[in-house]
Amino acid sequence: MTTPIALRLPVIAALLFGPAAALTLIALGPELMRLGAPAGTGFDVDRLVLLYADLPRLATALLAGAGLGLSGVILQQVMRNPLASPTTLGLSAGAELALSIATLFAPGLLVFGRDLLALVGSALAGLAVFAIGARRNFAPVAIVLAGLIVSLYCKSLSTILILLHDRYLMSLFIWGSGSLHQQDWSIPLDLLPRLGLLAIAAALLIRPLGLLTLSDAQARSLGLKIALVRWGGVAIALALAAVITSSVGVIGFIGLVAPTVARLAGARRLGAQFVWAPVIGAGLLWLTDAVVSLAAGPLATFLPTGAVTALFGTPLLLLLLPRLKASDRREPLPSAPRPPNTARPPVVLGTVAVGLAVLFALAVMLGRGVDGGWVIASGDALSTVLPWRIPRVLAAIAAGAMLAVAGTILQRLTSNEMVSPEVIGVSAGATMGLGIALFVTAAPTLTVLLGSATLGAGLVLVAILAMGRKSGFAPERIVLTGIALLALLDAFIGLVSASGDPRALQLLSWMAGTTYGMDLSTALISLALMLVLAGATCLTARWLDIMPLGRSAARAIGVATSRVQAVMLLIAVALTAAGTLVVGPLSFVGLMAPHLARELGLRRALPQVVGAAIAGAAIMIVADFFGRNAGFPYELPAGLLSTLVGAPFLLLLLRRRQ
Amino acid sequence: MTSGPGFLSRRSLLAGAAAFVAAATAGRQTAAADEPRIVSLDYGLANTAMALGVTPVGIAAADGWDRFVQEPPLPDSVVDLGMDRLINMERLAALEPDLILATPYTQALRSRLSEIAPVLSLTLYAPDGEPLDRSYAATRELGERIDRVDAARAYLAEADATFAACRERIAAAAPGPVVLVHMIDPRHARVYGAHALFQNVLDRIGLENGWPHPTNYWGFQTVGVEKLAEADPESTIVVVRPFYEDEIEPILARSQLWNRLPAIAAGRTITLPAVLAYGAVPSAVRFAELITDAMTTVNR
Repeated sequence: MTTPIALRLPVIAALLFGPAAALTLIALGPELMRLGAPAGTGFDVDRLVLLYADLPRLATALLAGAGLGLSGVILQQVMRNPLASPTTLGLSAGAELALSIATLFAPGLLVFGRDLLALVGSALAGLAVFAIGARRNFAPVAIVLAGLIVSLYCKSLSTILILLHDRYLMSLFIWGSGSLHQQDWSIPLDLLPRLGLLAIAAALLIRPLGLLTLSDAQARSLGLKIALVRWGGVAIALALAAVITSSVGVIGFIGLVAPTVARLAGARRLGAQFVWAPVIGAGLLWLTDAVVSLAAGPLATFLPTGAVTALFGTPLLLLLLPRLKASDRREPLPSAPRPPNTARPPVVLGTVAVGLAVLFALAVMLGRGVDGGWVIASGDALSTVLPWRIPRVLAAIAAGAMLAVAGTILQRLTSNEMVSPEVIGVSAGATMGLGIALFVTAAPTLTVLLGSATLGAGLVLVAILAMGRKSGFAPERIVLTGIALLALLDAFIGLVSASGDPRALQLLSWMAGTTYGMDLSTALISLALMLVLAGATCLTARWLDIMPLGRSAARAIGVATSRVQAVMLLIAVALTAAGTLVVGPLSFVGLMAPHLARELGLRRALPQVVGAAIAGAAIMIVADFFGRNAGFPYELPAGLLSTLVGAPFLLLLLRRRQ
Repeated sequence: MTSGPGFLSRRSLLAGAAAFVAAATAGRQTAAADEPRIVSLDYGLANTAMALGVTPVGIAAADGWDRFVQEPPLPDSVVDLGMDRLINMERLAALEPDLILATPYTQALRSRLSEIAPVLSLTLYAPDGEPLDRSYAATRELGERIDRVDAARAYLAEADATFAACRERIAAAAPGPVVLVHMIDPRHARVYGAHALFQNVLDRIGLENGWPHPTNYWGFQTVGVEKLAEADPESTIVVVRPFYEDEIEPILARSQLWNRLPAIAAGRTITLPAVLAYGAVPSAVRFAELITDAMTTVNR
């Protein structure tokens, strides 16, 4: 391109603002024309809606878009990461989760201000991402991966919280999907001073932030307090995201796309990016919202703008991912020397296996009696509860073990400890298949639901294999693609649930993950499938020992890396699909169990696979047990509880190792 | 924000426990009086069974009854079976029901439920047909199934009479069109129209719906509050509880848009107590009476 840079940026902006303005004029033009004329004596609907709904909505779109663009540009500069943004770092989702929790459990906290709560939520999410990223030397891919996982985690938690209280909280659905509807000027007028102050603070930081592109040493020699500048920048970006999320909900991807477009259009210097990213962000959100307003009419449905930006944003993220290639993928720091492995795998495995057996017995025998009291069932009482408990516990074991083995394979294949079966997109595929079945059949049976979920998982698998062939089955690409699929699914669910469709709740209750409704034959089939696939994994353990050494090392030893990766991937996908059918797509057991196994001293592939399978089964048994009993007679989804059971363990272990 | 007993509150657990003991003793005794032991996974069907003189021994989500159904009050003896999509199977089995009432909405549970007792699945909402017609049919079918054919016939005749009486009062008062809304939050509302149980009632009692837009197959449309301005300007805005939380009212009271809506500006707004929007004949009757009372006294 030879177009002068000074020209290209305004052209891009014009390309966004032109159509947006045109669409807005089509919709509002006639009323705008009449605005100058004296108001009629009677009631004027169009004028009323223009003044108190359409114009404030337009102002809100511009403000929120600009704010998110600015937040993104700051984050990308501070983190030296072109994929950093409020969405990809989990900040918006963290804010949403904090506000959902407050609304549900501690409405009293809302008196401290929604902004403050949102800020706390996004700061915590950000901290989690940075903590995970620090362990990988802030490698951009690792940060984005961690960010998206934290984001999905927060999103799923808030979704599940809403699900459990669905009858009360339709409002949270809508807000979580980011709606720009207004009924007076209060929201834009609240946003304006806050964003204005933050923008001024950001402007003051332009020069020092610009110096961050220098190496740390150079910057320091110029007298720059690097840490201060970094944290200042992060604080402003966090505040921008939190303020916007608290007033209009989650608007995805604008903060990622706007700075990228600005840079691509030639805004090289930071100063220029600081101006153009907000401009482009404002244009993007205005255009999206204009399209949404226009489309909502003929579709006769309610479209939250935030979910729609996520729908657009996900493919853009996929387009941007290749730009992150080699240059940005720093090698992780060599991990600290580990204590010599004194644990003898057979002893460890024997112990955990005994533990599993004890858990199994407890889960089957201990429970809440029909009157709500705790009962240890035996004799006749046992035989009446067994038909309900045995299938569930067996299914929990099967699902936990399958996801755990899949997680072990994926983590070894990618040498990335943050990878889990959920993030390869197979579970998203299964959920979408289920969703379609729910929406096209009036009263789907369990068989239809499971069949369509399997079909969805299968289609994603074919896509993964087809795309993977090109990249030689490079695991990072597969994981990032999977995450993009999950984000897409999330947007889809946001859209249907915000419209209030009851079927969305059915989809959500499945996503929350539960062993509920298992019958014995299905449970036994899952168990058999688990044994076959886990057995196959054990047979290929040698490959799993070699692959973490790196592709070139593996090739040197004579391993056909592409074929091995394809085979291992196939097994992992099959395990994920089967496990997902049982406990839903968001259990995170597959993330945690391999860690637990490694922390128990099971470092080599074979013992780690077996240990992870046992740990995964144990987590799911405990989760299912709490699910059945904690809220008696109200069931809680085992998938969600497995996160709550396993996550504290994982955090403890991660801390201990540092 | 949640007003009813909390999801996991100790109180509801204790209440449930007490209720169960009561049911286990009392329920067994009345069984002699030829009363079938029914459980219902749906409020509307439970409501219908009660109208036919059979109180279910257990229903799903009993803790939400006071908030969403209100009338008739649920006796303490009714056991809470948990969330409708995740029924507590152990507790359900322990109740030893003779019949399980369900809707196709819980179809996925059908095979497991039928291990416990016969399942009567009645469709109230489907893409074709009207919910009130289906509710009438469901009432008759339930009547046959539980040997209350005469009670069903009598109840439906009574419902017809109520609708007719309401129709006369409405005709006399000529109160103009209504717009039926559930307020989701201060910026969004659900508006009811074609295919809603509420709409069927409006048709039966001769009230006109002032909402000009189509609705989905459950008969509602989610809209931004500003859309209410597109309703017939002569309409009365009817806010149906629940979903009219404490914090919504003051925000709306300050809203320039809300206050300038023709109905609000002219004082043509009423708030109704909770009526189950997806219920059956009893909810329709309750709604007819409530809205007729309100609309025949509203200031015109």
